[in-house]
Amino acid sequence: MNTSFFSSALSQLDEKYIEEALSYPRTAKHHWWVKLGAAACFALVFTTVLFLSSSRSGQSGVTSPGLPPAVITTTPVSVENSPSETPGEPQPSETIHIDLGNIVVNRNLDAMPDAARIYYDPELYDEVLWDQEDVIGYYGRDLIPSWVPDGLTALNPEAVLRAQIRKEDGTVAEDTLHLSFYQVYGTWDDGSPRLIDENTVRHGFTLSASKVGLFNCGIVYVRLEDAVKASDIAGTPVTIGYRAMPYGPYDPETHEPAGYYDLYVAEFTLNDIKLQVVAEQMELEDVIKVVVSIIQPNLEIVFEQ
Amino acid sequence: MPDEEIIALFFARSEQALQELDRKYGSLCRQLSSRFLCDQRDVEECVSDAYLGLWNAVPPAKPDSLRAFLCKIVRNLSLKRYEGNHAAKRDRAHEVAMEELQECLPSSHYVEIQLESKELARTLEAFLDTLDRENRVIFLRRYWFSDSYGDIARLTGLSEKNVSVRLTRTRKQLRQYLQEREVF
Repeated sequence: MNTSFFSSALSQLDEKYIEEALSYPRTAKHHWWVKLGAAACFALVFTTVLFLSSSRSGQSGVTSPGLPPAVITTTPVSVENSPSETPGEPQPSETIHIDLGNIVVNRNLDAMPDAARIYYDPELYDEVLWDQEDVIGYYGRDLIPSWVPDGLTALNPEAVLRAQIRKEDGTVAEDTLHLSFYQVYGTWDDGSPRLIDENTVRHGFTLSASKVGLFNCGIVYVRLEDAVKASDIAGTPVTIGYRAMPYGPYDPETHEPAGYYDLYVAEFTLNDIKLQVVAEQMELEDVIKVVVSIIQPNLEIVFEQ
Repeated sequence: MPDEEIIALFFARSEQALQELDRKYGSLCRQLSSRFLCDQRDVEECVSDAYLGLWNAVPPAKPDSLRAFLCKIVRNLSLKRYEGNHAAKRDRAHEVAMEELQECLPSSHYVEIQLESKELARTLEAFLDTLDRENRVIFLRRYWFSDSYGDIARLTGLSEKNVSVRLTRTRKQLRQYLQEREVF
């Protein structure tokens, strides 16, 4: 018997053995000196972080609390007052300069529409329609972006939502607000707006907000290989993901899609409100402008390359 | 994306299945294939052929473990390509691993005639079932995936020396197991 024959036989082993070898937990058994070394390293890193934190605490507009310094790569280079050119019209009070080259865009976005709605038993929950006033009262602010790219139409201009309230104790179980801004390409037979272009792709974005943290019908994403990194935009850590999304029709021979379009997802938290912007066929600059207009509505942005 | 959804895409005959497959398991496949093949172009071709093989197999097949199913295809294709290139390339990790096994295999060629490789596979499975989980994984990682002692040591938390000793012991057990069943 030669090794080639043996190797061929190995190839025919049941998959359960292969899976077992693939899923074997990577649990290193450390010797005492390894543990001691790890403890020493941890102490060193901890001390260094404390030192860096204290040494950076006096800087302004460079770092954001809660993020390691290495993660933050985008900061306002300068903030200046903008003179009001037209009396009577609201003008941006400050200008920030953002270096696009320093924006961290997490690639390998694993995008998947999370379309499953949670069922709320009417026996246990009350569905309540919140109008704009209710929504502002609940969230403590108006969440409509102060800047929206030209050509996009607000599909929920009144910013209303249907909340689910637990009957037992009156707590809010679902509070997700969806504000959609898309280009309208016409109307369907039933009169509803047609939001897809000739490639069946939308152009625009949806802002989802929730204190509970539910983004159903949004996009979930996972960074597969590396840790997700955030950028400090206008003082708020913002995680941005990107994926080139294929669209059809697909070539029957090569299986190649007809093309790709840009999908950006930006996530951040403001005063305990979790926010997510899912943008299709939009430039990164415009996505950032939308995000900034939510974080700080009166800022004017200047991009630097 | 979970494996179940990738499999569902295969069943829907959506080409996105291949993209998701490559995104999730491309690096694993290339790593496995490169244990057999020197040339990166060969590796890429084998991985591409494996994807095509999976596309043709699923459906009707619905693998319990997508990555194990895929790895088997990659290994088979890489092994075939390796045998085609065998004369020119003698330094691959797979060959080094297989040389270790030479001592516990019969030298005569008549065994191949009497024994189908499938039968040997079933015998090997029975042998693997006699091992504890850790030794079984070490054996698979060395002779199926052609991992180095260092790779296995990092996976298991054992020293390389300990991995080497365990493999030597397992090979002796295998030799005895095959002799008892007159495979030797």
